[in-house]
This record gives sequence, C-alpha cells and structure tokens, in this order.
Amino acid sequence: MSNPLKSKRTKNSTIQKANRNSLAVIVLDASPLAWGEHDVKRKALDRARQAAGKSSMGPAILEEVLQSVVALCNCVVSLERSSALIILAVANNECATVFPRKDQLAQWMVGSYTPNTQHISELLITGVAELLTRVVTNDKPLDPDSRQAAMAAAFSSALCLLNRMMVVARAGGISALQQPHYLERAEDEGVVAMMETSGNRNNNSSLNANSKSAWSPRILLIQASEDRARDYNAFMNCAFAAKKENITVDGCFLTASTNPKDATTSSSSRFLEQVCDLTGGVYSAPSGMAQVGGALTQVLLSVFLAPVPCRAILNLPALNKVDFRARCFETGATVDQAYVCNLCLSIFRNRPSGSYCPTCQAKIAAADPSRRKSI
Amino acid sequence: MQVDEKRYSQVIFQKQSGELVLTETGLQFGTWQISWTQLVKHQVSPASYPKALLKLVLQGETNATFQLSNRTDLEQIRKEISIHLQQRSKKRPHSEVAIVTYGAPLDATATAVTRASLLAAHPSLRQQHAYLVQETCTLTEDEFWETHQHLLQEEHARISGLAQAGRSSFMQSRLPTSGRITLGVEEMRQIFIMYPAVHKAYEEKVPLELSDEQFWRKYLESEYFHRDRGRLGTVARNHANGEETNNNKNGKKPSGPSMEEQDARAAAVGTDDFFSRYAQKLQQEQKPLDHTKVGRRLATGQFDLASTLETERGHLLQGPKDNHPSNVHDDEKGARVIAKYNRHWAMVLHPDDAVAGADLLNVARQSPLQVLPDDEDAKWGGGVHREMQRLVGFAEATEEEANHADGRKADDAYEPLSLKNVEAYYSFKQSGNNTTTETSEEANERYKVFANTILGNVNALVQELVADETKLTELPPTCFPPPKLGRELLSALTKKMAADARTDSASLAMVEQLPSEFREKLQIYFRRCSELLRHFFALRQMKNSGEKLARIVLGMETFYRELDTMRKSFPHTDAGNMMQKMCLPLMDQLDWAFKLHREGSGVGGGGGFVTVEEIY
Repeated sequence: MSNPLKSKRTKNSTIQKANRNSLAVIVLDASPLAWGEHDVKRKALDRARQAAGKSSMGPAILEEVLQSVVALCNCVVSLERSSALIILAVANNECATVFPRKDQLAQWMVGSYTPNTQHISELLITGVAELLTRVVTNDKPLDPDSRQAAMAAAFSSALCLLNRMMVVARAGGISALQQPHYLERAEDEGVVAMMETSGNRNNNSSLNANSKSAWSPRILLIQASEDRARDYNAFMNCAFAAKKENITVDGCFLTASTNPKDATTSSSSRFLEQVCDLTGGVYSAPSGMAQVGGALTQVLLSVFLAPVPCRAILNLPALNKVDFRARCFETGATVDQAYVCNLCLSIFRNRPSGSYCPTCQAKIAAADPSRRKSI
Repeated sequence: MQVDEKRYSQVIFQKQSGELVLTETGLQFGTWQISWTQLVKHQVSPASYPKALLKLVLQGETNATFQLSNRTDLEQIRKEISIHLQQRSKKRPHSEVAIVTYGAPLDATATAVTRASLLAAHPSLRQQHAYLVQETCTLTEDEFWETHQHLLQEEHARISGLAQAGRSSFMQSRLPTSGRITLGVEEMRQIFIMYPAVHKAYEEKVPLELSDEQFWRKYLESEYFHRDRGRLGTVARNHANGEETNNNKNGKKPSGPSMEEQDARAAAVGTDDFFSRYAQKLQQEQKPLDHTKVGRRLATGQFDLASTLETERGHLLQGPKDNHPSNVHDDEKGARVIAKYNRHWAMVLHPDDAVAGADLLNVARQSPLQVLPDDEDAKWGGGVHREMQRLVGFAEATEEEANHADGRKADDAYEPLSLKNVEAYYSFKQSGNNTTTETSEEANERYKVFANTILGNVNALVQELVADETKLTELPPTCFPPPKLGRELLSALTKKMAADARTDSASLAMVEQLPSEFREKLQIYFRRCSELLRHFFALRQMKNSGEKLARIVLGMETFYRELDTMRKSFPHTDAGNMMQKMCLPLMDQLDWAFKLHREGSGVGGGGGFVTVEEIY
C-alpha cells in the first residue's frame, strides 16, 4: 500500500509543475540520403512481401513520417491552450526553423499566437520541401559524414530557441502593449515576443515574474540518419547544457533496418540514448511494423505526447541498456581503453602522434616505461 | 643547515660574566656545558623587558637563565638554538611532543597495536584478514597490510591523539570556534607563520606576563581569531549582551538585535584587540620593500596594477600610508568600521605584496627614455600596437568594416561561423586515401539519386496541398493505424512500458524476499572477490611476481569453486533461480581474470577494469 502522504506530495508537486506551459521543440531529420535509403529499402521489401501476400514491414518513408509528425504536433498544441511549439528540420549541414515562420507574423498579430493545425501541416511540409530544395541544389561537394544530418547543430539551435523563450519568461514576458520595436526585433522579428505574450496571457503573473521556469521545455529529436561521430563532442555538450537548464530531451530513432541482426545499418542511436538518459527523457527506436501503416503515429502519441510533469505518474519506455563507452575524439571510434589528456581530458584511442594534444595543444611527455606505477 | 661555532660575549650566568659558545654538540659557558640532547626548550624575555634574558629548560625540569648584552644577540641566539632543536627533532625517531607525520614508517610495536586496533574496529576487514591471511594463506601479513597502509596511518594518528587536531594546511578552517580545541605544536607553528602578530605577542608576553595556556586561551577568545571566520568573539558577544542588559535595565526599548549586533561587530573589528595592536606595530616596523628586485622594475609610463596604494594613494616620501588611521581615543563605531575595512584591505592587498614597484620618487628621477631592454611599448611615443590601431580604426570605419561579426574583409583572422563551416567545430581527421576515391564517386551518385527522389516526393506532397486545401485541415486516413494493428500495437506498447516500469521496485521487492543469510554471504563474497581481483590485476603489471600471482590465482580458483558449490546447492525455485543468477556476475569476473591469466597477456593499460559483458 503506498504511502498516502508521499503520494499526496507527489500529486501536489505534479500539479504545481503541470501549471507550467508546455514548450516543445521537435527536430525532424530530413536528410535526403537517410530517407532515400529508407525509400529504396521500403520499395524493395514491399515488393517482396506483396508477392508473398504480406503487409508492409517498413521502414517508414519521409511522407509517412511527416504525416505522423503533423498528427503529433496537432496533439501537442491541442493538449494545452497555452502551449508553444517549434519545429526544426535538419538536412545535411543545414538546419531551418519551419514552424513558426517570421513571414506569417502579421496574421498572428490580428489575433493571438495560437498554433493552428492547418498552419502546422502547411508550414511543415513546405518548409521541409524548401530545405530539401536548398540542400539538393547546393553544388558544394560533401564528405560522407556531411550527408548525414547535423543533429548536433539542430540540437544546439533548439537549445538556443528554448533559452530565448525562457530568458524572456524570467524577465516577466513582453507585453504586446509595449513599444512596437519589441515586436520587430531583427533577430526573430518579434516571434518570440508574440509567443511569450500569448502564452502567458492566461497564467498567473507571479509565474512569469518569479518562476525560473514558467515554461516546461522539452525537445524531441526524430532521427533517421546515422550518428555523426565527429559531432559527438558537440552533441554531448548540448546534452549537458540541456541538463543544466532542466530541458528534457526525448529521442526517436527511425532505423532503416528491419532485421535486428543486420550489421550494416544501425538499429539504435548511441548519441540519442546517452542524451535521453542524461536528461531523463524517453527514448524509442520503433522498427518494423511499428513504423508503417500509421503505427508510427500511435507510437509517437503514446510515448512522446505526455508533458514532462505528467511523466512521473506514467509508465513510459525506459532505457535499460545504454552504451556509455566513450568515443575517440580523433576518429570517433568507440573505445574501452584509451589515452586521456590530463589537462583537457580528451580521449584518444591511439597515443597522439605529435608531441601535443590535438585538442588543447598541451605538451605530451614521451612515454617512459620505467616510470609506470604499479597499481 | 650547518651552524658554525658562535660566540656571544658579555653574557651573565649565575652572576658570572663570560662568553657563551654555541657549538655543534651543545652550549658552553666557561666550565658549564650542556649538549643539545639535554635541551628541551628555550624561552626569551619579552621585548618590553629591560634585560635580554635567555632561559633554557633542560631535562629533569632544571632551568638555566643567561643575560645577554643586547636584544640583537638574544634574537640571534634564539634562532640558532631553534635551528639546532629542529635538526635534533628530525634525527630522533619519535618526537617528545608526539608529532605524527603521515607516511612515516611505524615501529614494530606501533604497527602491531595499530593493526590489532584496526581489526577490532572493522569487522569486514577482520573477515578479509581471516580469510586471506589465516585460512587460505593467500597473502602474507605484510602483503595484506601493504594495501591498507592509509588505514594504518589514520588509525595510528587517531591512537596518538592527533587525528582530530587537523593538519596544518586546513587548520584555519578546521579549528572549531567553540567547544574543546586541541592545539598541538604543529598548529601553533602554523599560527605563528600565518599570523606574525600572534608570534610577536607570544614572544613578548609569554612566559612573564601570561602562561602558555593563558596566552592561547586569550588568542582563541579574541576578536583577532574570530574576525576571519565572520563570527563574534567572546569579548564582542559579552559587549553585545552587556549593552542589551543595560538597555533593558534602563527601561529603554532595546533597539533590536541588529543594532546590537552591529555594535558588537564594530567591536569585532578588532581595534581594541591587543593582537591587532601587535599587527599594527608589526606593519609600522617592517622595512620598505626593495623596489629594485629583479623582475619588478617598471619603466616610465608603466603601471603596476597591483600597487594600489602606491599609485592611488601613494605618498612620495613616506611610502604606503593609511589615509584613515584608526583613532584609538575615539570609540566611535565609524572609526572602528573603517579600521576593519582598512585592515581587511591590507590583509587582502597587503602593501608588502601589492607594491611590486613604482617607487614614484625613483621613477620621477629616471629619464623618460630609460626603458627596459626590448620594451618598445614603454618608450616615449611607443605602445602603438597593431591591434590597438585596428580597434581604434573602427571609430572611423565604414559600416561594413565595423561589422565585427563578419570581421574585416582584409583580415583573414576571422571566419564567419555558420553551419556551412561545421568543420571548424571539430578536429576530425579526414582520411585522404586514394582507395576511397571510387567509392566516394559512387556514393556521390547514389546521394544525388536519393536526394532527387526525396525532393520529388516532398514536392508532390506540396502540390497536393496546394491543389486541395481541405488536406490542410484534415489528416489523411493513413495517418492512423487500422483498428487491428492499433490494438496489437497498443498491447505491445503497454506490456513493454509495464515491464520497464517494474525495474526498480520489482527488483527491490525481489531482493527483500531473499533470505538475509544469502544476502550477507553475497556481500562477503563480493568483498573477497574484489580483494582478490585487486591483487591479481596489480601483480600482473609487476615483474617478478610469479609466485605471488600463482598464489592469488590459486586463491581465486578456490573461491570460484566455493561459490559454484554454493550456487548449485540452491533449490530450483524462483528464489533459488534468482540467487543463482546473482552469483553469476562474480563468477563472470573471475572467469575473465582466469582467461587473462591463461592468455598470459600482461599488456594493456586497463589494469583492473574488466568488461563483464560485451555491448554490441
């Protein structure tokens, strides 16, 4: 029998935290290479399965994912009147904010910033199309890693956006009755101000002025590409920043692999696992039938829809096995034993060839076996 | 440090005048001789005392008092005797004041006592010792205690009674401000080093005016001691309490604790404290710094930011001077507060340390052209730096050039950071092998095909939206799963989430069900296993450890068999199966160690870090 006092306390704190507005950022991986592979595999597998009279087993294609994300976004904004939603798309080395858009600010000025499901669908699809056009028409040659999505960069952008919102919230928000220039700032042309103003209209002013976190921020990273090994440091730095700001990061990895024993394709993203574990978020890597036929929508809604304050009382998928092994800062390979610079703590699989640490340029003394201490 | 023979003339001892000679073996005055070993301690008369007396306390509680001709000789002889006593204490195995140096080897008796005490106090250690040393003879007594050397040292220190007194470097924060305080010789020495004023006061007051105990009691109760800790000393507290009592007696409304505390804190500034007076005296007596020290010369036009007093409030002729001297005749609160801040300033930016140069009189005498070698900036008209010119140039720059974010176009020092230059963020080595050229071309082609396909698909979506606006408001039917799939998925998700949610609480519940005897045994086995593995991995790295390593491996094998026997004896019930599983990690660790031993691989820097399961 549970302790009634404890459950009451938990309930009270949950209610307290639930008073905060939901501020969600969804980062969608739209890299052509990853989705192209998904597309090719799907077509090949579907052909084979149709011939055998079976239904599709995935993997998901970009159009299906876009539909599912639209459904998820609609549900997120419908859950709370005063919630805020931002959608970022990332492809190769490009990252763009597809929702909300600066050029649509005028129509929000008439009423209030209330995420409109129609707008979400339209802006998401057109935004992704625009991003892909930009990426595809870019003639600059890309190395193999750059063809994967720069999730670290998108993560960093998301953190910046969230920070911007939270800083405004801590300062007490910006009233729409104030000087027009607040709404026309060059960096975001008042989008943040609009979102902040409307979002706080229905809340207690004490929350705005005094509460460090009038928002309940979270980020959902939807990734289809492989992890970029060289972005590990940046990714982890973003994770630490998110942890420090109490931003929950959820991860959804859409693998192209339908066979768990397939070694050519990753079935999970180690970066996302570590980030979700660090920030207390939820991680899910649906595969097979869980990605197709609308099942992905159900997975997204079941796992990622719940706001952060409610998660304490829900049963959500837990990360039981996380690969915490470090990666070599030079080659990105996972290491069990490595050389560590005693100044900057950089990890290297092999002893750096020069006499300086590649990260901090500290001088490395020559190896002297006679000085090796016994444990 | 070698001290040569020193002679002091016109010394009076027992009404006889003569010469006092300090040699390597001891002191000599006429026919009277005493060796350094007989000398316990020495004391000198206070500076205020008219005679310069040196008192030697000998073993057997006898004293010898010498009168020297002047104070200078007295100070000199005091220092020399101190050096001799220091040298003697270093040579002796045990100091008479029982100073324990951490890390110093203990003698046989102390070792035995300390070991016995440790074993009596720590049951887990006792069990380990019994198993490894007595029952299985895996380790010898010395080998076992070699790995617990730090415990021995700490226990010995505790037995010797010095563990609570704090070590020198943490003394200031560790000395309690209330209750029982134990001051050892080391603590006193550190206090004298950190607070020269206290040392001076000790020399002058002890033993003629105050006894040792009285002096230290006075110090610990003084404001001088408490001020650095932000607390009120006894005197200030009494002062505060006295004021409050007076107010109450007079029928006045007490002005509140804050006012009284302010008063007391003002008193806590310490101007009334005699240690503070010594501190002030010390400052006045100290000679001005030699400003011509190497590395501290400043040329004309240069400023030393550390020399706050000299450059801001310096006095050309008199050197550092406090512009707000404490007025000892005035008990005004303000004066005391000012004095407190001045003292704090002096402590933090001590003029002796802060003044690193800039004796303005000397600087003024020098020619403006006299600069340090190779110092172009200090020359008259010098200090024009390329960077400064660039920055100053922005005042007349165009809008384009003043854009610091993009940097100046002519200057390649800045590269605009954007996602397009992601390579600037990391130090990733690009592999430039020729063998990958063909693969990269194919990869490029593949990428182009994929990109065009995906772009086409997404553009088709956009066209559909443009053509049919109702699609913006309605989600397509394929967005959600068909009922059957939805139910199956929901069931699978629910089961998975429920299973995940059971992890912690279920484990705890399961563990509670296990017999306590098993849990205790498992703990013991875990400790034994850890100890054995620690020795195993340590010995692997060492040369000439064949015999010892063999004994350890034998011990591990015995332990493994014992654990296996226990595991097989469990019943085939849920609890029994669980207990069997719980023994597996220990056995896996030992398996891995056996494997390493069989392979004979002594390489690798891991040394003790064993991966139990491989993570793919």
